[in-house]
Order: sequence, then structure tokens, then C-alpha cells
Amino acid sequence: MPRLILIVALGWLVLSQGKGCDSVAVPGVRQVVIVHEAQEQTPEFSRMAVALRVGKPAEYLKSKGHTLLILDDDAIAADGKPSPLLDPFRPLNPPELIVVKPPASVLYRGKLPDTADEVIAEVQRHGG
Amino acid sequence: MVASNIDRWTDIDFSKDDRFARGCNGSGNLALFGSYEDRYDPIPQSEWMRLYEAEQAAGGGNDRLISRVKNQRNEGSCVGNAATAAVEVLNNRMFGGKLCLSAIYTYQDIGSSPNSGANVSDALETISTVGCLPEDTPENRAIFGDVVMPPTGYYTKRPKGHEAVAKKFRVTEWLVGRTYEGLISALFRGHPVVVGRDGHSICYLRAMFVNGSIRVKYVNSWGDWGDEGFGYDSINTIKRASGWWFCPQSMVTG
Repeated sequence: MPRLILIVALGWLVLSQGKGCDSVAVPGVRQVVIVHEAQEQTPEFSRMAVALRVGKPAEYLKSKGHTLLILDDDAIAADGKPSPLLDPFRPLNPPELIVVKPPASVLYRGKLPDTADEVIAEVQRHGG
Repeated sequence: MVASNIDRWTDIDFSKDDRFARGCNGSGNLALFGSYEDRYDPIPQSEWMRLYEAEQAAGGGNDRLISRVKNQRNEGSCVGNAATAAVEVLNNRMFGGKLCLSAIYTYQDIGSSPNSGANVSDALETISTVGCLPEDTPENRAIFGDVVMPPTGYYTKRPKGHEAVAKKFRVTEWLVGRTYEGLISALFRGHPVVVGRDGHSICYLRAMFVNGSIRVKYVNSWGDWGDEGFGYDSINTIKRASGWWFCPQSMVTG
């Protein structure tokens, strides 16, 4: 019993200082959204996009059941209006990576990494 | 990708092979469109080899995003085939899957008969205004029902409701280029490029180096032809093709 009290006290101490308590997402299917500006496309972005579609990173995403969307920041829908796919993420700040737990929980949002492997690592950090 | 096979299918003069139909009547008026070279600085040639090696190390480029090699058969619909191939690559990159679009739907808009041929710029106008219709495949039928079209058959009647479905596959951002350096830069930036040369239109997919010399890999629309449907152009041929070209950059998410 004293040991349990000690553990609880230590845990409280750590949490109260805001350290050592990274939030851990429950593993599961993720939607990986990349928002970029088509007019700013670079060779590095191109390599990353192709790898996420057909390379080893793509195989990983498929094996986990994750979906990938690579969207232009001013993408429009067939009716000519701004794409509703982007609505949950506005305002946009391209290029950025968004990891979503379906249907609509944004687990991570940040600057788009430089490589496909780094994208996968970010997805994995958030339960994907 | 065997080097000897690449050499075998490099710098093919389409006009010298009467077994296949062509149908490219020219390019178009640059002034009507935004210029790639005005928008982007070319990537310095000193960087090209490094970019190619990086792309190789990553497993390849846009050639891996091709849905399948098209076959225009005996119709002069190459411009429709090249343009829809470029849209397919763009779609596959943005949204995944292996989208198949009907080349004849696009060609119906820009040609005046099965073998009239068409201008490359007219194709750009069509894919950016009318859009593209899905090809008649089991996968597309499961989604779009009867609102699909075959890959060939100029006189095929368009299905009811084609306008709305085609708008779901419409290019919204594109640029037109006019220089060799701009064209290679566009490919290294990952944009598929539609060109016309020797009375034929093809879709350039990626820039590469073979024995230290620049080549461009393209997908043709002659079915089982060339290097499994693909061919290659070397510098002089690329330069001939680079007087007027366009690259789609973004499309609707319909």
C-alpha cells in the first residue's frame, strides 16, 4: 500500500509539471492529408508524392488501411465551389501535413516533412 | 528498364511508321495561356543529374502513376489520348487509384472526324472547361453507371448526363511552355507534359539520364508498342517538341 501511494504521488508530481506525459493516440486507421500549392511544386515534393502513392511508404499506408489525399490548397469541386474536402482544415497553411482519425479528429497538423519516410514516421507517431 | 531497350525506342519518328494512326495538327497560341517560363525559373542544368539520381533512388517518377497504356487504334485521336493520360497521372497522384479516362470523349470535342486530328491547345481547353469522362471499365461503371465511354469510336453517342460527370474530372490549374529548359524543369517538378511532334501527340512523364545524356520517357497511345508502351526522346527530339507544350498541375476533387 505505501508503494502504491508513492507511485501515485510521483505520477501526480510528473503530470503536474507537464512533463513525461505525451498523449498517445490509440492505434487505428488514419486519413493522411497533404495540402500544398500546385504552383509551388518542387522536385522534392514530387518525389515524396510519388513514393506515397506507389513506393514502399505507399505499401505501408495500404497495409494499415490508411487513406491519402494530396490536395491543392485552392482545390475546387465539380460545381466550381471550393472543395468540401478542405473545409474541416481551414484556414490552410500549405504545405502542411494533417493526420486525421476518421471521421474528423485531427491528431496532428504541422509543416509538411521533406520526405515520404518522414511523413510515415509522423503518421506512426500518431497511431497510424 | 534495359538500356539497349531504351536505345531501341529512342527518337522514334512517328511520321515514318504507317502502321499506327497519329493525328496531331499542331500546337496553339501561347498568348492565350499563362506561360510556364514566366511563372517558374528553369532549374539549372547543373542540377538535373542530381535530381534524376534522387528520383531513381526513390524508385522512379510519374511513369509509375500511369493507369495503363492507351491504344487509339486506327483513329487520329492521339491528342485526346495524350491529354487524358496526363490527367490520369495527375489524378492518380492527388487522389490515388488508377483512374481510366475516355480518350475518345475528349477527342470528340476537338476533332472533326475520326481521322481529322486535333490541336494540342484545343485539348487543353477541353480538359480545363468540359472535363474528362471516365472510360467504360467495370470499376468506373460501378461508380458512374452508364455515364462512361469507350476509349475509341469517334461516332459513339455520348451518354445522358455526361456533362456533369465530366466536370468531376476537370483540370483547374495548368501552364503552357515554350522552351526546352522549361520542359525539363516541369518534368523534374513532377508535372506530366503533353507535347506534339512529327504529327503525333504524346505525354512526357519523366526526365532521365542514359549514359550521361538526357532523355525523356513518354507514354504513347499505340498499345503494345515500344518499350512496353513507352518510348524515349533524346535532346534534339525533345527540343523539337518543346516549342509548345502544356502541363496540368491541379484538378477538381469532384
